[in-house]
Amino acid sequence: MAGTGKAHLRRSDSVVLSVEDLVVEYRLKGSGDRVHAVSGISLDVLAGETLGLVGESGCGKSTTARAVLGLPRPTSGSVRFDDVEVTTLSEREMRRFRPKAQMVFQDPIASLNPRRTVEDVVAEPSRIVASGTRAERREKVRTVLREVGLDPDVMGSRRARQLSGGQCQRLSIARALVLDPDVLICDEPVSALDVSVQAQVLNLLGDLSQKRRLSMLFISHDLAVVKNVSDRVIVMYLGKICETARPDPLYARPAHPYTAGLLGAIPVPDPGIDPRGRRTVQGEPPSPINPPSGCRFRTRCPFAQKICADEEPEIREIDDNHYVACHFPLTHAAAA
Amino acid sequence: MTRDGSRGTASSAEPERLLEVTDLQLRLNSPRGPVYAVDGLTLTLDRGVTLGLVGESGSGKSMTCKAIMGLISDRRGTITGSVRYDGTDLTRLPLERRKELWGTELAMVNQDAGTALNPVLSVGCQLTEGLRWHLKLSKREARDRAIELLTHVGIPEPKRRLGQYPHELSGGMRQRVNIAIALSCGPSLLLADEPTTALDVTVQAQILDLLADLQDEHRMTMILVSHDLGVVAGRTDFTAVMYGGRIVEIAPTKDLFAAPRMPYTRALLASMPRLTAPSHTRLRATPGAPPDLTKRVPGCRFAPRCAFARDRCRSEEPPLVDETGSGHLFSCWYPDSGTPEETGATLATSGQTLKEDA
Repeated sequence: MAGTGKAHLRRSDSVVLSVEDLVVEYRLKGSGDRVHAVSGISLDVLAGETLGLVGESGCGKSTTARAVLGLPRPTSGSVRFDDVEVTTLSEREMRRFRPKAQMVFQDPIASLNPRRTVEDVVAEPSRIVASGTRAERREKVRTVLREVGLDPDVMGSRRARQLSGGQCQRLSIARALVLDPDVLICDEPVSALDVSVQAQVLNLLGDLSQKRRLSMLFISHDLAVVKNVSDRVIVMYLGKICETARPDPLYARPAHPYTAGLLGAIPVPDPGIDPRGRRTVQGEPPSPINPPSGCRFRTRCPFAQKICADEEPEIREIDDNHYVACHFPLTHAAAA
Repeated sequence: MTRDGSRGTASSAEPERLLEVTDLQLRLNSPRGPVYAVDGLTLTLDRGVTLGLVGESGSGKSMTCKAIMGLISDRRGTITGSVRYDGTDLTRLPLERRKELWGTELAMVNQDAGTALNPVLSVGCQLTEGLRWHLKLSKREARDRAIELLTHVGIPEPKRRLGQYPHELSGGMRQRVNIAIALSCGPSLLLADEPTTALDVTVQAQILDLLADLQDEHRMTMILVSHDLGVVAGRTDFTAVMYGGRIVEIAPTKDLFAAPRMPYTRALLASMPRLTAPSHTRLRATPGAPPDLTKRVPGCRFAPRCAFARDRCRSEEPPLVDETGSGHLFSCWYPDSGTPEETGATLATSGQTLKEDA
């Protein structure tokens, strides 16, 4: 996994967000060890497209999302929105750019001030940006609330602490949408929700992306959720990209041993399938302080050879729009 | 569970009743008034059987485990009903007697492997505590047994681990330690409360396999609590679905997944995104939110969110009954309401496409 490389980037006029060679590292206090959180990620998102970033904890998916917004700025690499490089913008210029990309966080309750009213929460971004008159802003708030399924007449004056988890997440989405961003970055937006409520929010996000032609970067550890919402999926492991493709072929014919193992580990709600007979991944991920040489997955990979330790695999196309970073990708027969 | 002869693979000989919970009620004290966390739960479990307990947050799964274990202090809440374990009603035992049973008869593995361990005590210290207390082993014997236990749950370099502290271990390793502690005194009933929820999927699969192996080996009875229907599907003999503090459906796992009868179970299955469904399959969301357990309303608890609720559902609570005598119990006045398409039972084939594949 490894791999670095940009073979999977598209040269299209409709690329809204493009990230190249993104590296995020930080030093641990005390020991001074360097944590390699993200090590050379490249990705692009087209207008109206949802890109899913999936992987286990510590793979760098959330760090990637935050670095895209400059929270904090990446150690190196380039992030371009509509061809404007944002990593070198000054704080003031960054402020002007921020309305274009908004974020929805994992914990719907903790990401809202419990004492603010629903309307206040949604009105705040436009107050900061100071666009339009007060009446216009209020009308906009009410429209967005309706769009996410919260009735402004009923809910508008309630406080965030009076809302359920699902309602809080709708409110977070409304707050992110009120400035009409081009890109919505969702970091585990449904992980804290129960399945019945999760389905409501996933359907809502799907509707919004279609209606608004919104580009989304959707981060989740849940492969089923990512498949449901994404037009394209990137599988990450220990700060690197393993594999990227459209969801249906990716899930049907995973080429990277890690993707296959991850899919095999997911519990399936079908009692006819014996979970003990499935291909999974053994062991636990190594530390990002001292990642393995070559392919970062090699320490857990059942097919690892000498070359995997010596040489980092480059991302290459193995099928139409299906890219993998592996020296020995699975053939379709073996993956089945 | 179940009162007739149909049970899972685990019991080959004459089944032996291990646990019998009758009309269990747990009322928790809270600043907002009493919370009816478990509200009339009845359940029986034979030796060697694995029961999956599923439901959304607040449905009472964890509280059921805690009430069975007897971990609710009088200050925290009130328990009524009975929990008969091997013939003894645990709810009537004084704390001292219950303590003797913890670890030796009933043991629990908690969701959060990190906080379940004491951060300032070494792994060895926490692992040998039960061995020395319950089994009266000497220091040396306990240490040797602890090494065996750690080896058994798949922890490499067990000797070195004894001197380590929880923060030095990964989440998966911590959960293995918790399992080793839970099993150290050979309990007959293991309550595994979301044992893998905090773990990554690849580690989750390893821990669930480990639990299954250990259970086979010790012929342990297990209640596996999860919010994830996928976790219980392949690993339990019976599955009980909880909603609003009650069991609303319970059946042999295969039957429950093949033919769920209660609309809530169907809604739960239909709202899960599936790996097998094409991308952008429209999910069947259930409107509304789970009930507020501080309020007791007449009728079926799911009625306010149920697409098929009628007047009777809102006034009279449906009992949990075995209508067909097949060991499939559910509480619903109008089971199988609507066509399969409407209830989402066949969602894999009925998916609508949200947007064109780009």
